[in-house]
Amino acid sequence: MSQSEIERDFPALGQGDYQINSAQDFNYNCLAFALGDSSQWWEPPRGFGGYWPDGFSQDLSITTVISILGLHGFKFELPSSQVPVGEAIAIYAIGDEWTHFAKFSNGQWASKLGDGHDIVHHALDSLEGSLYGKVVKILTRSDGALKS
Amino acid sequence: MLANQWRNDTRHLSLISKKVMHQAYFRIMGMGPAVVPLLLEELRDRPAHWFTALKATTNVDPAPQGSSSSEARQAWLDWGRGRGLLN
Repeated sequence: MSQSEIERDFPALGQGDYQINSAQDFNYNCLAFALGDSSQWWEPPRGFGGYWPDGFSQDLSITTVISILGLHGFKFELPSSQVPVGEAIAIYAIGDEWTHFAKFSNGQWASKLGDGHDIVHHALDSLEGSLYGKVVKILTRSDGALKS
Repeated sequence: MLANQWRNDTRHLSLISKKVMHQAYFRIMGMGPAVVPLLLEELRDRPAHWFTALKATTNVDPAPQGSSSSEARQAWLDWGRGRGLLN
C-alpha cells in the first residue's frame, strides 16, 4: 500500500530507485528530518501546527529557509552536477516557496515524505514533479568539499 | 470517502497549511459538529492532521500549546472519550 502510494505521487521513482526506511509518522516533516529532528513538524507560522525557530520571518520563502539552514551550518551552495561530500540539504520549491527538503549523508539522499515514510532515494530529480516542484538549491556544510 | 480522498491526495505534502486547503478537508469541516465522532475515529485509527478540522467544528482545543502531533492526538482522543464521542 505504502509503496504504491509513493510511486503514484512520484512517478519518476521506480521500484529499484528507493528504499523505505521508517514507519509513517505525522510528528515531523521533511525540514525537521533534514535537520535531524524527528520530534517536531517545522512549518510557519509558529503555533499553527508545529515548530518554527525564533527570529526568522514566518513565511515559506526560500530566502527565509536558507537563513535557517545557514544557522545549522548549511551555508555553501553546490552546483547540482556535483555530488556532495559530507552532509548537504537540497531545497525543492514551486515558485518562491519551498515544498520539500532532501538530505545527503553517508553518501546517499534521504527524504521524509510528508507525514508518510522516510526513504532513501538514489536521485534528487526522482522526487521532482507536481507535488514538490524542482530542486532549486543544494547547500552543504563544507566549502569546496566536492567530488565530481 | 472524503477522508480517504484527503489522505490520499495530501499525505506526501510537507506543509499542514497546504493539506488543510484541500477541497475534501473543507467539505468535511462544513459538515459541522456532526462529523466530530467520525474525525475522532479517523484520528484514532489512521493518525493524520485532523486537528484544524476538530478545532473548527468543536470550537475547543484540548491539546496543550506546543504539543507534538502524537500528544495532540492523545489529548483529542481523551477529550472525545470523556464526552462519549469515541469508544
